[in-house]
Parts: sequence; C-alpha cells; structure tokens
Amino acid sequence: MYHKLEVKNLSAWFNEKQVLKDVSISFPSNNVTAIIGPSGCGKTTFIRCLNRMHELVPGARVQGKVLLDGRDVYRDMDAMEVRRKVGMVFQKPNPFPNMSIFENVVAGLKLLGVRDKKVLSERVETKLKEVGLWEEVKDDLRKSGAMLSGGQQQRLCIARALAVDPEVLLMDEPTSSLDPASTAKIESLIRELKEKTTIVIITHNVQQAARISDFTGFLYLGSLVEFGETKKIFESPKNPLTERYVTGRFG
Amino acid sequence: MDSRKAKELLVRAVTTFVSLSVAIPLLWIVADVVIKGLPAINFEFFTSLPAPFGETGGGVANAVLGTLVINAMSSLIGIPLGVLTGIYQSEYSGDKRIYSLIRTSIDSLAGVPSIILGLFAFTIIVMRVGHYTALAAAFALALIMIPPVSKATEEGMRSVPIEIREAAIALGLPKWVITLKVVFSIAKGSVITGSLLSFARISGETAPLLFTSLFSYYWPAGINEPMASLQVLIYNYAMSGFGEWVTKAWGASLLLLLIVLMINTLVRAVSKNKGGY
Amino acid sequence: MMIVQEYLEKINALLIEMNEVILTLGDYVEDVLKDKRGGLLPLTTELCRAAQMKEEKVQETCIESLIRLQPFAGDLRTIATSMKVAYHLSRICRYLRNITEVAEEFSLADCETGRTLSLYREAEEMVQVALRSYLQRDLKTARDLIKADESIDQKYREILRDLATGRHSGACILFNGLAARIIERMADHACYLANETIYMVTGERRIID
Repeated sequence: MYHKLEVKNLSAWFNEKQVLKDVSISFPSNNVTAIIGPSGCGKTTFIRCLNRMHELVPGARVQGKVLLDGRDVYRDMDAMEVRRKVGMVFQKPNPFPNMSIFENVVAGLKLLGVRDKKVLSERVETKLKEVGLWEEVKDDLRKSGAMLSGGQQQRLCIARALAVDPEVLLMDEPTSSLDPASTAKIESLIRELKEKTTIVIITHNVQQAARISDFTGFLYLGSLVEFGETKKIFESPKNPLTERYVTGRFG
Repeated sequence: MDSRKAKELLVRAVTTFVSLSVAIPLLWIVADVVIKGLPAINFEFFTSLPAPFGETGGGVANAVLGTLVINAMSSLIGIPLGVLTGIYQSEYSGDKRIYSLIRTSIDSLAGVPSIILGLFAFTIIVMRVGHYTALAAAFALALIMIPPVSKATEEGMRSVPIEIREAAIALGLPKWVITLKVVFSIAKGSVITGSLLSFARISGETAPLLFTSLFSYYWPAGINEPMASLQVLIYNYAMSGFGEWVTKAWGASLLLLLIVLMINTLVRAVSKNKGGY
Repeated sequence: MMIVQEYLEKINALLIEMNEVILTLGDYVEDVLKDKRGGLLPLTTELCRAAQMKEEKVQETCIESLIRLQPFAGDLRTIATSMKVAYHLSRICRYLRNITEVAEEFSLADCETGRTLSLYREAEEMVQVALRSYLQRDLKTARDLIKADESIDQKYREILRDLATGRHSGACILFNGLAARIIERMADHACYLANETIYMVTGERRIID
C-alpha cells in the first residue's frame, strides 16, 4: 500500500502550549482517512500542519516531518508549492464574494495569470461536473459565488480546490454547517473523489467517519490513540479510550 | 403625568429640537448661495475668462479648469500614496512598533492645519523655484488626501474576513496576489468612497492654494505656473467690493457647493448599494 | 427513543425469557427420559412456538437499535451476537421438542434410558453455562465450555456403541439413538453460543467444530 502522505513524529505548539504530541500517521493513496476526536484534541491543528497553514499563526511552531511522495514538506518544498499540491476545504463555505461562479472555480489559475479562455472554460465545466454542480449552475456562471445555497457554495469551494489538481485534499469538517441533504451529496462526492485524490477528512461526527472513510485515526489531547481500517476501528477497536469515544461514552 | 414620563418627554423634545436646528444653518447657507449665486450662472460664466476689474461680463472657466487640474494632480499623488500606505498597514506591517509609528504619523498629518501644509509647500517648493506653481498646490493637497485614503483602504482591507484570506492561501497563491487580487479587490468599494470623499474635501481647501497656486486671470499656462481655482477666485472676488465680481463669487460658490454635494451623495448611494465590506 | 443500555437490557430480558422456556421444556424431557411419560407433544410444541416468537422479538429489537443508534464497537458486537444467541436458544428449544416428538412414536416402558438421561443432563448444564457466560460477558467460562464439548461427544459415541451391540429392542435402539443425536446437537449449539460470547467480548472470530 503506497502512502501518499506520511507524518512522522509531528508536534505543534501555539507559543508555549503544545497541541500535538509526537503524532505519526501514514495516509494511503486514493483512500479517505478520517481523523476523529473530541473538541480540542488537535485535529484542526493537525491538518493545518499538513498544508503549512499552522505556521501562519504568530507564535506557532512545528516539529517533525511531513512527507509528500517522500519529499519533506517543510524542508524540501516551498510553502506555496505545498498548498497547491495539498488543497483544503473549510468548515464554513468561503467562496470569493466579488467573483462569479466561473471565476471562483478557476481562481487558482486565473489569479496566477492563466488567460486562455478555452482552458479556463473546460476546467470550469469539468470541475463543476465532478462536484455535481454543473447542471444546477451552468446557465448562469456569471452569477456571484455568494448567491448559492450553503450546500452549493461548499461544492463550489470543493471545485475551486480541485481546479488546481491537488494530490491530497484536506477537508476540515466540510459538512458540519450544512443540512442533511447537502451533507449526503457531499459524502457521496467524497467517495467518488478518492479515485483521483487522497483525502483526509476531519469530522466530529463518528457516524460520518464510519460512513465514508477507509481508514480512521483517533486523536485525543494531541496524541494519536489508535489508527486503523475503519471497519476494524468501528467493529472492535483495540484501545479502550477509542471504544469509549466511538460508543459515545464521552464527547 | 408623573415626573418620569415628563422627564422622558423633555429629553426627547430637547434632542429632537437641537438636531433639527442643526439643519437650519445648512439650509440657510444653501438657500443663500442658491439665491445669490443663480443670477451669475449663464453660458458665459462657464466658458469665458474673467473680464478685467471694473468691467462686466466674463466668466470663471479658467478657475473651473484650474480646480479640476489641481485636484487631478493632487489625486494622482495622494490617492496612490494613501492606498499603498493603507495596504501596507493592513497586510504587511508585522512589527507593532512600525505599525504604530506609521499610524501615528498619518493621524498627526491629518491633524495638521491645512494652512500650515500650504506654508510648508510654499517653503520647500515655491521658494525653491522662485514662483508660485500649481505643482506645490498639488503637493500640499496630496498631503491632505493621504490620511483619509489610507484609513479607508486599511479599514476596507481589514474588514475582509479571515476565511476569505484562508481560502486564497490554501490555493497556494503568493501573498502579493492575495493582497492585490483578492483582498484589495474586495475592499475596492471602501477605497473608492474614501478617495471620492477626499476629492470632495480638497475641493474646499483654500488656504494651501493661497501659498502655492495663487491665482491667474488666464487659462492654465502649465502645471509649473500659478493657476486659477474656484476657491481662490471666491476669496478674491468676494473681497473685491465690485458688485459684478461679488455676484460671480456667489456663482462660483454655488458651483463648488454643487460639486461637493454631488460627490457626497454619490458616495452615499454607492455605499448603500454595495453594503457588505 | 432509547439509548444503548435500554436496548441491551430489553434484549437480555428476552433471552432470559427464552431460557425459562428451555428450562420448562427441559423438565418435560426429564419426564420423558426418566418416567417414560408420553403425550407431551402438544405442550412442547406450544412452548417452542412461544420461544420462536421471542426470537423474532429479539431480532426486531436489534434491527431497531441499529437504525436508531448506529452503534459501534462493543455495542455493535453485543447487538449482532444477541441475534445469533437468540437463534441458538430457539434451535435448542426445537431440539428439546423433537425429543418429546420422537418419544411419541414408541412405547418406552421397557427401555433403558439412563445413559441418554445422563447425556441430556450434561448437555442441559452446558446450555445454562453458555448462556450465563454470555449474559455475564465471562470470557473464561465461555472458553472452558467449548473444550467441554469433547466429553459430550465421547459419551455420545459410547451410547451409540452400546446400542449397536443389539442388546436392546428395536424401538429402544431407535429412540435412544435419535434422542442421543438430538442431545449431541444441542450441546453443539451451546458451544456456538459460547463462541458468540468470545466474539462479543474480544472481537475475535473463530470457527469451532
């Protein structure tokens, strides 16, 4: 099993406070890996270390290795290159409000100077189709991105992240602000996306992790408690702490 | 009626009365200007050069053009500098001390009386080149424009939510692209209103012009020459004692007032439309 | 809407009720083997049906809990195994009934049923121990029980050898042979039940013979 992304002994701090303690996880390619754990366990900090966004906070510090295809994301790569290859979708949909749907999808290209109309149009159509939004918006791509419903906006943000062809897609609780129908659409989308990308999803909803992930990691107070195939973790976890968490014995 | 209700009513009545009273001087001024200025307005007023002292006829065309030219030059200097400073303060000044230094400087600059800025321009430009020049006026007025434009830019950019910036960062865009093409692009509205307001502001400044562009009874000869302006024309003509000129001063006042009111109304309309940032 | 604990309590209560039926049926089987009593088939058939209805109820309760709770880990394994345990208990009820059914065919007045009775008592004990190990989540008892199956198999083969000698009447050979076979199967199901306990507690799946 090839591991697209490998995290080795990752620790992270906000000033003096240590939020991640020596976490090591390997993410298998073209699979969905879920990271679960109670609030404050360090899940969000963890994925922000994967695309080098944690370091943007003043006073933030990182130690350890994050390897993308064997290359050290901190030492061998430039931050922007990392972020192009490791995309991110956030909890609250955040389309650019001053841009149309079209411009939003290809923002990652257009803002860097790509002008070829044909290339851009193709990319818009392809990506909107991938996220299942094409039929709903194809007649009015010039409409502002902010005028869509919550679920549509989130799919637009996913399309935008996919437009730069990332190799890994990080998703920070992507459906927690959406209604059940939109959530179901996006979960179904995630199952399809893994064929092309490796996906890491953070969720506080264990049922969601059970539904869509192939592998699951349980983080608690900054440490990795258990990691394994989702089937196994949810059928018979090895660690009693994991057992207590997935059976809802503690939030 | 018990005393509590009476007090309530009293406070209400007093504040309403005072607030409405504030509108009175404004309405009075506008009425005065309109009544006294309207007689001066005609085709010749807008298209002709001033007639010599004592003669009737003539117009203020050179002053209109001059004001526009001076304002344009000031804007060309003041707005870019204000915008760049605003961008820097919002996005790039990491060190708190540098930020405070610049912030204090700009706030202080805003507090300097315009006549002193005019005197400053006089000293370093007019005295150097040996004659009055519109360039010095542009310099002085630019200094007046920088603080409000900078503030509007900075506030506009700061009000762009962090989620938007994060989305741009996560796409792997370089900082300058995010700053200019995403954040600034969203803050555009704020920058435009700030610029328009400062344009209206300098249209009313007279003191600096007296030390720099002074006046001229002819068409603007060049930017490095004295230049006519509506503000100075009003000053000169109103004090002249010559009825014809006094009327023209009122006409110019009316014109200036209209320009400033129009800009302010435009700004308010644009702000309402854009809402948001 | 109930929480996990409430569902598990409801399910366990049903399993215990099923066991009550087994005990009652067991008394009747004793009557047959010890006192050669007949005419019990209608009674035992009725009891069996009651047990089957309880099995259905267990199934229903489990399905409902899966829908409502989407349980995981220990909770999930407990619910999944309880469906199988209910099935094994129901099967055991049918075996007990079958013994009384077989007894109807023959007049057993002169039959030696001592060994068969002893085999039955051992198997009945195994069923009780197995169910107890499940309800109390007792891993050791469950593992020990599975080993005890050896003893039953041995005694069963002895009975068959004895019957093969031909010293009994034809009816007795048939009756004892059939009853012993039924009892041996009953013991097997007790072991399968104990095996479920192991999976429920540890998550470990094993196939036992």
